Amino acid sequence: MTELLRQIDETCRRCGGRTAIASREERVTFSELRHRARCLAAVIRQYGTGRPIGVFANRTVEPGIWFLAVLYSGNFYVPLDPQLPEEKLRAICADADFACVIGNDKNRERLAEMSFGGRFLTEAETSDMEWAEPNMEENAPAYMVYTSGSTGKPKGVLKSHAAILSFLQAFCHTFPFTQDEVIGNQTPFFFDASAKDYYLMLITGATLEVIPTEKFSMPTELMEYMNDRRITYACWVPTAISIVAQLNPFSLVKPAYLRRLFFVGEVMPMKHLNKWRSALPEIQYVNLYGQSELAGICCYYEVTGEFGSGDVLPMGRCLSNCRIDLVDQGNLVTEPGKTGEMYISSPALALEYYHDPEKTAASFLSADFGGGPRRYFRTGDLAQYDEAGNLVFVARSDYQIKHMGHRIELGEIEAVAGGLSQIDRCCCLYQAEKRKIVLFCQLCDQTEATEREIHGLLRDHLSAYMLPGKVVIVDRLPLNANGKIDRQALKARL
Amino acid sequence: MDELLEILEEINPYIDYSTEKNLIDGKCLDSLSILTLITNICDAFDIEIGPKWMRNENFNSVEAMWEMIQTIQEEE
Repeated sequence: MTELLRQIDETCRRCGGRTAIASREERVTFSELRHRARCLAAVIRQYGTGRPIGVFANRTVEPGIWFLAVLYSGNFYVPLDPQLPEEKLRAICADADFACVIGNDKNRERLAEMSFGGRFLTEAETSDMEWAEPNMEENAPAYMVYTSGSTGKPKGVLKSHAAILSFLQAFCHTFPFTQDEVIGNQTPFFFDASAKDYYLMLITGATLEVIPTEKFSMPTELMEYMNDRRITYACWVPTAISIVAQLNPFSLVKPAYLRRLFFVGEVMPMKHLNKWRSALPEIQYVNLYGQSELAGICCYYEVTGEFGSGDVLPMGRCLSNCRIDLVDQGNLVTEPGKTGEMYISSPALALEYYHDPEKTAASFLSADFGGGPRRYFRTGDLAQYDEAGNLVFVARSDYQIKHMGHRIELGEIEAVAGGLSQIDRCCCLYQAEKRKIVLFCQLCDQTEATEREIHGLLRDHLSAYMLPGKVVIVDRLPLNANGKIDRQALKARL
Repeated sequence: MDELLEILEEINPYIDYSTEKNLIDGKCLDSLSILTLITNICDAFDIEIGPKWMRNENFNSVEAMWEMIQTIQEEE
């Protein structure tokens, strides 16, 4: 077994009778988790080791058992979103070439409809076969997530046991966790961000509570559910936190046990976070930054002090297992206020893009910016240091445009527009063929403003060459499955 | 009631609101749709929907929403 698996096994034995994973309807203890995972692992083992195993990630306790079963079998799992369009699911199955897929009977029907030719396994098919300890290297692959590739072809990112362990050790060193924590899970299991919740449970013995999705629609019920389950820690996407703030349940009910609220995945709008902070000032709020190409996260920033509505939270500092260098045209950037692309070096970096050596070589490269050559991941994110030495996100390098002879970060326009009291969220795109900057915006509750008025307000904050040529007010911005603004869907509207 | 139906159809025209009784629990409307729905109801009926009303049972069907709106109007 790897060190990660050995430590997980140790947790399961140490916390045997405690709840490992719970949903609204069911709960499993660490003993049950270990037992069921090992039974299933014995069956999976028949299909070999070191192979990809698809796991349908329904929002129940089962995927948590199945993931561990795959690890115990010496294979690596690929979480599959049951809501995926057929074409996407087909493309993933073709790319991964699964040794088998694990799910429930409903998932079996879904795969049968699309004539999936591979093996399908349910937990009911476990037999009395004996589990045998697998032989694995520390950097054996543990799981793979598919992210949307810019070309439209799904891109598998493969992460190792050693990478996950490296993240967990660094994260728990910075934010001590005990087995008394109750983790309130919001992000679905097919979404990479949920791996943090899952592995924190496995390594610390804390309980993972899978919060029903519909609770996020009714914050009053969400708060009551969190209190009923005594949730102490939550790491959610900013959209979920923002919706709660907008519907403001705090005058009626507050999350009484919550001690830490972390967020990751996109920029957190300060006007919404400030509502939480004024209602619940005693909670620790932490902004996290990570990439799919890395296990867990690499930067964190604890929110203290005053931040205005339009302020952007820093990404902060690196976890102890990561090093970030800002690079501009091959040179290291160290001066505050100067922009560079973020290069991450860490034992937590992914192994590769699955079956894509060319893309792997382009994104994961060896470079020497002092102290000898290191393996880096090029993030494509542009950042700066502030005067306090915190990293501050500037923009995606691919959202950078040349317009009227000026170099413009679309992210900067979004930051200014997002700071207007009328605008809830916004997204800026560039229509290259018409050389026009287009700003899509969603207004705040009970706010009335015309596109012309928004344009007029922006004129007060932006240089003339940065002013959007067109402002489009939309009822709501389209979101992708991960809850981020769907830029592709907006591009289609141009 | 027609005005409420118009609001709902604008948010998602593909749901049969006359028969659907499980709009929230059945996940027909996601959290962002509900945010828009609540905002639009408040605007259209000139009411404030406080946190005590934000429960699935008050939004699961058109009838439940209509009853809630009328009760809030009476209370205000």
